[in-house]
Amino acid sequence: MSARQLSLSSRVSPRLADLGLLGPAIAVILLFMVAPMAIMFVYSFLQAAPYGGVEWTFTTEAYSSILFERDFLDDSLTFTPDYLIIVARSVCQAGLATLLCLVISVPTAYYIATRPERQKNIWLVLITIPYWVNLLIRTIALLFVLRGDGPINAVLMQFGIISEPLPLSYNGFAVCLGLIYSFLPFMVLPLYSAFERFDFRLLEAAYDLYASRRIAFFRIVLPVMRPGLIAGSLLVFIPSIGSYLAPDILGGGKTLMIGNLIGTQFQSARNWPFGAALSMILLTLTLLVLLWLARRAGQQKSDCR
Amino acid sequence: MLGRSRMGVLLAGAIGLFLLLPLVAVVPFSFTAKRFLSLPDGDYSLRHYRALLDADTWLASIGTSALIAILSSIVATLLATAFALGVWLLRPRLAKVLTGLVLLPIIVPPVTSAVSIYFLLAQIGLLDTIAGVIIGHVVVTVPFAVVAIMTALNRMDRTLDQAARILGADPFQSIFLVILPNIRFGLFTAWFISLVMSWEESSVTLFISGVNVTTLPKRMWDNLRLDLDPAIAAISVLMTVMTALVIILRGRRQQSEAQA
Repeated sequence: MSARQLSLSSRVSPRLADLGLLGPAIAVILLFMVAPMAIMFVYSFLQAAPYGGVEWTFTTEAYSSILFERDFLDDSLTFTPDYLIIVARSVCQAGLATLLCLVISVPTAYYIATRPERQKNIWLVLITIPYWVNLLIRTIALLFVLRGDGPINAVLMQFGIISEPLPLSYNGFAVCLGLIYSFLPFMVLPLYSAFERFDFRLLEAAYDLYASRRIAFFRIVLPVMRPGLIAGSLLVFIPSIGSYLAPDILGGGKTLMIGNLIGTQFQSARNWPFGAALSMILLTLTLLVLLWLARRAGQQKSDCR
Repeated sequence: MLGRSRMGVLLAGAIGLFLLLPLVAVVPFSFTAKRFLSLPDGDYSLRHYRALLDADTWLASIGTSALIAILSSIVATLLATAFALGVWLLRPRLAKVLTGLVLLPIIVPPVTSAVSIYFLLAQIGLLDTIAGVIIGHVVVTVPFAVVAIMTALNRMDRTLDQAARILGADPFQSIFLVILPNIRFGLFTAWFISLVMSWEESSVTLFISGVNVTTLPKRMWDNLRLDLDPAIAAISVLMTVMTALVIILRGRRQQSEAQA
């Protein structure tokens, strides 16, 4: 039986039936995701109204104000790197967090995947509980640990290793740690399921053919794992780069990232077009990374042939 | 080899600790007898748990969150089920494109989704309403529900559907009597994921809700802004314990079903 013959009902025309199943979800995404993104794109080229909202005049002001500051007196533009630094910081923080998650997760996922069934389940529950706990709660919890009067400083001072509490919170370090803490399970779990499916006979074959451990890892394990690595990296990088909670709560507002800058445009600053323009930039950055990784995954496929 | 696996145990253990320690570290903060956020020095008290019950703001937020989570997860599961079934049964030529479209919210940074949904809701006047928040939650949870149901469908044997058809079942009978019962765990997973995600959603909700609609995460966020009082530690502990219980129970159920 072909797929066409399996169409839903003989009474309704097949196309209509197709729409009945596929339509609602697509409509929801088009209406509430794609259309809003189009609105956002349009808004990013409009003039900001004084108290939030927009005025319908075309301008590239929102984009230019990312790089330049308009002088109130003579209307001249001067270059200011402030916003650029925030964008660069977001990319660096997210990239660093992704890289560190990757480095930590590969051996961990490998270890868990090679355990006997019972132990495997215990490890998985350990990893998944934080995965399910509210992101806000986890970020606050990490703040409690890192605080001046938190357990880490308390233990270190108890043993006389330090005399003054270490400044662990409200800085870039705390933000990066927060990103890793928030999204580490997103890296471990896909890698685990990739290792789970990994055919370890490939590795034995490699050793039989006199491959060293190192070569076996780089030439056999990594290429087979590549889809899992890419999926995990995306799942960490995308929420990290637009992260809002970690920089705000753990960075104490001093190490802002692009997500916070966007948030401000809808709270105190009330500059919708600027917020829209920043979101467009964030989206573009994300898509670039996505395309780059997708191309690398594609290359891998053609290498294999 | 022994040395290597010992390294593995250390590393996996360290990660387990790293992930769980902060959640445990909150516990003592919630039992402080003082009015401000601090570690208890000898005096333990449940007053901050009491405060959660006494202040109707917390209870109201729990109610709002539960309502939104239940409604949005049901809608998301229905939409995702229809879509996944559609792709599986009809194998439309554009299957990949359509699936990509529905999964779009996964690859868009949450803050970008939040801003776009904010603009839309502002346009149609649903900002800071229950309906608006439900729309936002459905959009961000649908992709995860779709993935869960598609995974279940891909594991299902296609010939079951064909056998039902050959035996005279019409498409609707086949869907409701054969396919859906076969993927019921997938459906449950999809609903469960949507429910939990909506219950905890903060990145989109912080933008689109405010004074009238205050979900639990939003209430916590506001509390964190205004005064860091120990009630936030208490609610964190309660929610973490609840989540842990649900996950463990669900794991048990799955295990017993896998054995049965």
